Amino acid sequence: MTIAAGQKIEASSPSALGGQLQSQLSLLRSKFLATVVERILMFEEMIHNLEVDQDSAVALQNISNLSHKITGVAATFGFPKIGALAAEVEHKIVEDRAGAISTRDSWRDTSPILEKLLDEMESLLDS
Amino acid sequence: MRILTVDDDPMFRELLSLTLHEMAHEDVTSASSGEQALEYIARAGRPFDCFLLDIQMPGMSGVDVCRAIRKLEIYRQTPIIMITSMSGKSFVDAAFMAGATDYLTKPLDRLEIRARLGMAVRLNAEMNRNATLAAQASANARTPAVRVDFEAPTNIPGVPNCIEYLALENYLLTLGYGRQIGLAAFAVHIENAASIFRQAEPAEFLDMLKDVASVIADELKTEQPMIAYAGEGNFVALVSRLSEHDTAELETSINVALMDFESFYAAGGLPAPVVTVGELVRSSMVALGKQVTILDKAIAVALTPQSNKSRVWRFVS
Repeated sequence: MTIAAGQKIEASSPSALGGQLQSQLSLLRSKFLATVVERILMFEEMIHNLEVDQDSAVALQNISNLSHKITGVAATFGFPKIGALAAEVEHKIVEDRAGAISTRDSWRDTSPILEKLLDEMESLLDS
Repeated sequence: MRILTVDDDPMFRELLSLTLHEMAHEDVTSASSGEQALEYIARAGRPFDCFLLDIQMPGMSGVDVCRAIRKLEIYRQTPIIMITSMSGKSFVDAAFMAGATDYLTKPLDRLEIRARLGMAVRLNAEMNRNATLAAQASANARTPAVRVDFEAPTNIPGVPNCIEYLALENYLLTLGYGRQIGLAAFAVHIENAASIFRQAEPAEFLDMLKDVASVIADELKTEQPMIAYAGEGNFVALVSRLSEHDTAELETSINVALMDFESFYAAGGLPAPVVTVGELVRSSMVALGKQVTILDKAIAVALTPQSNKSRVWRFVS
């Protein structure tokens, strides 16, 4: 089941709910796994952009945004380490920005965490 | 309960909707941005009963959305729960100051979300009950329907830095004991609140509370406090533990400022409020793990006769 913005979900009988929910969660988990390769490639492109221009605030923000999306759901789908590392990446970037840390310095401190996140995401593909 | 969720990530929206569905919350609408959420709110035939907002979104942030919702009269008290991956104090502060009722961190914890939604259901039931009673009471009156319970915390909308008491409690719970160390609390007790309550119409009593809240906020404006009305004539304020005040001086300032309203109260046959300011209570003075008790302690201190009101609040870390 896909729930678009603005769409309401339909009620179900309580007896049917457990099985239905589990199958919907499994479906969502599969969708999450299907996005892993795409997201690794997106991160790689953003890293490349930052290597070319270490002052690219847009690239760093994009990394934060993508990490945010992983943070929200990874642990629920059974990948707590990925969720925690994504949260660490997001928090670092957001807090550095709030503290007026330069993009260059923020990226220097964030990149090792992002590397760990990518390692974890890549290990999913091997399993 | 009619719920509006706002998150820019479609996968999280699906997950949240499924979770709510599992909890038998079936009337759920999801928006993909703050802007879209405000459109849905504007077009809603029947108002929403609860909002679940992500903070980090492109365009309008969840804090911006929260602030915009609170500006709408019908949503002044509607539960707004922030669901975010950001747990830093600055984010928590910004959310509660914008009018959030509660704060949850991602990833979703079903037990937590069930508990927080249970709170929202209870709040809605209480709001509906009050609205019904007020409507009944004013069926033949010319004044708008207002109902005030003297003992209960009351929302004072439109005053800077003044939030709901429940939100203030949730704020402390969200911070946890460790981050609460940087805070201190004090209470302002309206000595003649019960007398005014007995003599005034509910709307007049609410206006009086708003006057007192405005004066407290104004006197503390450089501190960025969080203020809430706890009921029974007691306001509580959270400030930095590094605050420097003279309790007696603050009490005098507030009472002098309130005297400016004296003629208005006299015209209505009411006495002007007179307040007592309690000493500052630091979080380290209350039991470990019982974050909310700093508020209770501050009120208890304000209700205790003070022998030395001139003590300066000056704490160093």
